[in-house]
Amino acid sequence: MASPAQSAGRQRGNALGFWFFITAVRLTGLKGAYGLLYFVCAWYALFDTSIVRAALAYLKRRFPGHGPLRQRWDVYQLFIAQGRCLIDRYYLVHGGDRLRFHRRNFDLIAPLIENKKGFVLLTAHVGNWQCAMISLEGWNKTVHLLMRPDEHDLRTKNLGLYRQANRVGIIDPTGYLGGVIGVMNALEAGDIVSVMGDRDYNTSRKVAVEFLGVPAAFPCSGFHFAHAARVPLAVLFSAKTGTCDYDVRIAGLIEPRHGESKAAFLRRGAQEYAALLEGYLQQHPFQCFLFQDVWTNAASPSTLPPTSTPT
Amino acid sequence: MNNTNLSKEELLPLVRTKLKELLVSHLALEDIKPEEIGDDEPIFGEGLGLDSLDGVEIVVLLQRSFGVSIKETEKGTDLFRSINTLSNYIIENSPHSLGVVSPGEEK
Repeated sequence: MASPAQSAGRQRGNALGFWFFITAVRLTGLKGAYGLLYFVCAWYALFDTSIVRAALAYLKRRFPGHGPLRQRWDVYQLFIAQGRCLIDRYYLVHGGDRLRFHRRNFDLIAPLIENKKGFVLLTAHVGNWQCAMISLEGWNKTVHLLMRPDEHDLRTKNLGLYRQANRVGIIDPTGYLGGVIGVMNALEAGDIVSVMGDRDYNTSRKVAVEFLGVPAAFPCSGFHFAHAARVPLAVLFSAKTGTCDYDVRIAGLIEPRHGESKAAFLRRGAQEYAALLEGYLQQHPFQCFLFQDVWTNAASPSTLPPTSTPT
Repeated sequence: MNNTNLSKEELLPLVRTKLKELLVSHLALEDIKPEEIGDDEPIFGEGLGLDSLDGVEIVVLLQRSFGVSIKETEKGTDLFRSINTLSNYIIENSPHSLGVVSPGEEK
């Protein structure tokens, strides 16, 4: 029997459902396909208790004053936003050319590109990170995606999208040692390693942070890589801002300081990342597709506790 | 320290000892002394109980202390099995088998 987390994490929809959306995109364009979402998402928001529970883990913290009815409405809004992102991804993969990606703050990483220095691209399950990857085009760098085999769908259907614009590699985090040899080699070669900052890759280690005003535990693989390789992390978020428009923003750079211990960097880095993510969610509250409760059991033994003194 | 005249058999115990000391200090293995680590004891999982993120530190440690890089990812399964397998790899691939990379040389 699937655990609640597994149940929430499984992919929704079936072949017939996808066919409806695909046909709608072909016949009516994006807006027509979006229209179908109002009915489909209503069904999920009303009857799929596991995914509703998973979504509420975030929404209850983001909107602590909302009562049960308003929370369910929030879930509905969030599902619609996610559905639009999924449709956009399909549209783009199949040659759609009306979506516009507006780069923001990319000058922050220009020196890293010019110096041929490797770095960790730290993303999150917000907005449309898969589509945002095409904004990296034009860089003379290979981007290595740390990606699980169960994301088979992303590999087969979406990687063609990235390959058109970038040199793309895959590092399997379920391989030996979680793919760390490949990660370290890539960073040493001056490449980019893309890591989901809110995902735990093959390790239970986390770092305690304050997120949306509540103690939470964040995965820390990306920070381990950056500290060990002495490279910065560039935090990248994307947000759908209109029917055909996306903002793809370098939200910040997080760099290990000279002489900073690993534990101190993990704490500081994870907290800075949490703050950047929180800032994003203030602006785009319904584009958080984390579906994991990072708050419950935040103080488990495998979580690096917050430092008692400022670092 | 000049190790160039030592044979592999003579180097091996020295590298093993150095490697154990580095693992204990770099990975903050507070409850373990270097001499308590078995030469053939699994490094990851049930052996020393290390996980993949400790693997990150070991990869860096090999580079910075021994000048050894692991370019072929698929070799990892065999290399990281135990202190013995790692030591053999270091001796076969490192010009600095005893970790005598000076600070200026360190990458």
